[in-house]
Amino acid sequence: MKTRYLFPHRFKKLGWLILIPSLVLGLLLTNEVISFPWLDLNVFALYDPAMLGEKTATKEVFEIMENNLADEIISCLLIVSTLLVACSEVKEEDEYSAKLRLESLLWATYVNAGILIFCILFIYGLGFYQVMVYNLFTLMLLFLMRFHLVLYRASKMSGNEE
Amino acid sequence: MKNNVRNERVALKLTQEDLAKKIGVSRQTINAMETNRYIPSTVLALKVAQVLNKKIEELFMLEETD
Repeated sequence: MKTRYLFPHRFKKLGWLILIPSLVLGLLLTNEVISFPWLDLNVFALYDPAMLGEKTATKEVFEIMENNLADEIISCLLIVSTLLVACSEVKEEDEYSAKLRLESLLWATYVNAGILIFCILFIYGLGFYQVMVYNLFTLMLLFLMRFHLVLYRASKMSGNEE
Repeated sequence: MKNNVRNERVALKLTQEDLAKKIGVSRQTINAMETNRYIPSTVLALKVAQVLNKKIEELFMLEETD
């Protein structure tokens, strides 16, 4: 089935190749297990207000500032790779896989919203900032888990029925 | 919606894989259709009917409701 907005199947493998190391590196970086001091570079910032407890920035907009680029690079890799895995055709793309894809996306949206509401109600301060960082990626990760689980179940089920 | 796809496929001695290949879908799709986990689109239902040499209404029928 030709779908207008899906990448060809070969992009899925490339997505996994980028996603797995990026996910591991991202978790290690956010938990401060590793760091990349050689990625401290001058970057252009459109907007850079002072964070809580920081000295007031001399200039908040259109400034050149020093920043460690590790989190930016890993975040971009995570976004691109989850899109490649999630939005590439499965081996035999047809209307049933399209239905499973749509259902999984809805399921992920509901679960993600539920988790977010829970965190809004029960997590405060810096913890909530951390939640928001993780929340940048949870929707797509939940979708990927669910979609591949239902695809696996469907293939198992059809194997048993033969 | 219930269907006779499995009966007609078996009568023609086709495997799910054979039928899937003939209509250009995956085996999982045929399995889901036969076990009523998936109701196919009109186009797919017509393709199945064509391959199984049956009329669409002989293959797919609405279940009676109270």
